[in-house]
Amino acid sequence: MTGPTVAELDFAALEDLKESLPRLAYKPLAHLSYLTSGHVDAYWLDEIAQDLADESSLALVSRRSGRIDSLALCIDSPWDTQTVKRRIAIVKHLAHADNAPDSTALDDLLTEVTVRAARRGVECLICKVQARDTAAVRALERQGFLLMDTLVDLVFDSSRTPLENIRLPKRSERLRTRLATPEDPPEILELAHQAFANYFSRYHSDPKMPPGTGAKVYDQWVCSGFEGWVDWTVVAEIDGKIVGYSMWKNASALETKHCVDITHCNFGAIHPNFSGRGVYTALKLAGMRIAESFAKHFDLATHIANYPVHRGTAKLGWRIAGARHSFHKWLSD
Amino acid sequence: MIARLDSTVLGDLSEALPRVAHLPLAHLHDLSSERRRAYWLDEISKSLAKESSIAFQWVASGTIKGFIVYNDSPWDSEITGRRIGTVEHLAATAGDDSETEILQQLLDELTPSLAERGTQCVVCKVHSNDLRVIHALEQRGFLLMDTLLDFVFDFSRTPIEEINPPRRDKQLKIRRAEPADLSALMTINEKAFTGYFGRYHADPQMPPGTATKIYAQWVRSAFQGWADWILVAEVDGKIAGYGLWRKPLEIEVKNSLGVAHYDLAAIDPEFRGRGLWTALMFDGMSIARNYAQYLVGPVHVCNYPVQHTLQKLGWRISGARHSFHKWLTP
Repeated sequence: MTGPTVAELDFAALEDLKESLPRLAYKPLAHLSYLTSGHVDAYWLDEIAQDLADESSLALVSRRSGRIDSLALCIDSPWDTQTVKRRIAIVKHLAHADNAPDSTALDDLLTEVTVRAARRGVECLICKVQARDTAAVRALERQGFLLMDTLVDLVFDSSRTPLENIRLPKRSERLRTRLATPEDPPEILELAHQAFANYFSRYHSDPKMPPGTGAKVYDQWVCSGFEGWVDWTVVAEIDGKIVGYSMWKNASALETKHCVDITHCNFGAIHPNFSGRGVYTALKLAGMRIAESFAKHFDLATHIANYPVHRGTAKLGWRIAGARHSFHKWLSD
Repeated sequence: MIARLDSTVLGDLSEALPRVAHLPLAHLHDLSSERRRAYWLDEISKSLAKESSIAFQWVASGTIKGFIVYNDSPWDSEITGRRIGTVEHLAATAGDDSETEILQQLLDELTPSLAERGTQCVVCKVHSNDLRVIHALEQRGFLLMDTLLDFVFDFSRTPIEEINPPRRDKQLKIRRAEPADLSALMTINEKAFTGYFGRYHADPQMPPGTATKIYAQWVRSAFQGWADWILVAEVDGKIAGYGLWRKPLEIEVKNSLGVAHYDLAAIDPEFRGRGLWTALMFDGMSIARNYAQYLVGPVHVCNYPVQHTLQKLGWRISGARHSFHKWLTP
């Protein structure tokens, strides 16, 4: 057996990667337990091919005895770059063979990715990995990445919990929900400002992010939502004033191609003065009722320390089905 | 300036604690900061009183700006055959970027003392929002091993009578454990924890078999008096699961914290999916309510079935902690 070698991954090597994918651990969509591994591998290969086609992509594999046993693929993140005003890239795929508890191949790949990304002018690298993938976590930390936050992935399966079976306390008659209209963004932006002022996301918790980044990111998120990034937004009103919103997105083209039954609840907030008044559950349930016409499964990701969301989703029957750590590494000061 | 920290400066430390951002007991949301600080000071005082303690303070103009307290972990050391210790308290008070520097300097000061003592592995558990401590640890070579969610049940919010546990299997009987049950529990442990993923499993530098040994010793210690009650679940007379519980600890009683602890439970994989875990938990909770207002139980962030069952029984996710290990010797 020969030692590991690092090489670029190009379209010609995708066939080799296809053969290796079944042996790689911690695949995407891990929180959707209804998907078979064959299904996931096919989706993953397509996603990697799509990312390889991105002109900013930087893809490396480690081979042992000719077979691919680790992969690192990094692409620019224009959205983050534009919002943060620093060139940010994301290590979107970081994978290793499942028989490697502490793979030095990952260290080699990350070192190479870091050097090449820095050469291109990338200032910050982001990487999200599954919480159980401790080999990847350790490799990232050894390479100078720092933990910024932990997200849990929640899934609702409407075939297991029919929406009509969800019983919630009677809500105030003053509280109503409706679809957002083009006039709502200014009020929603104001609400987002209040809700995320003291939040603790990875944008807030990275001391190297320029001051005010956390707030800017959430503003931009709302704006992008109304510019077509999400498919629908539900708002909650009390006495005609918007007190909460929730943005939803249908399955992506890639997910649809691979028959991944999913609707994503992407982003939302409750005005801090109206928390604890049933707004969250009313809003979420209204969104779920719409989502049900598109898919049986819904997912959302929330910060591990976002306890009100944990409580609200538990009441509605959502279940934790995954956890991911986010890491940042700054390549420039 | 860094100086040794001992119990003679507890007064100064008590003045410094209000400037620390992250206090312990964050998962008990109704507890005031004053009570949490009083509890913490007691905890630090206990840590300092231990024979193995090594502690430093970072002082500027007579004010404590940061501190670190370390102790050996004899229990872990005995089981793993490696000398293991724990950073029990690590905090800084500056509230700005110099905080990370203070924390790093405290860790740097501690490391040579540990090497001298022969400590091989240092453990540190941190609240998930305490990013400055997390980054200082990572920058000093600590690696993330696992993440725990702190689940809390509050009897004053959810009376146990309002919980509707699923109907029980007629062949199921829950009873208090007897000494003769130990070997059956050991067998369950072997089966239940072999493929588990706690921090002992996740650390490749732990000697092989450590994780299973840890869980075995945990149960053995419980039978030797560490747990206050042990419940076993029997199906047709065969022991198929167990749960370990503790009453409020001495320091919690002293600080009037009515907190009982769900510590560990396991079900024989053969009997999974039959409601044993829920039944064990419900009966354990019924006993615990005689001693406490709150129940706390840490659960691995990836242990989804347990999280789901606890939520169905009215427990809430109220905190999260990361565990870090640093090996000083290969």
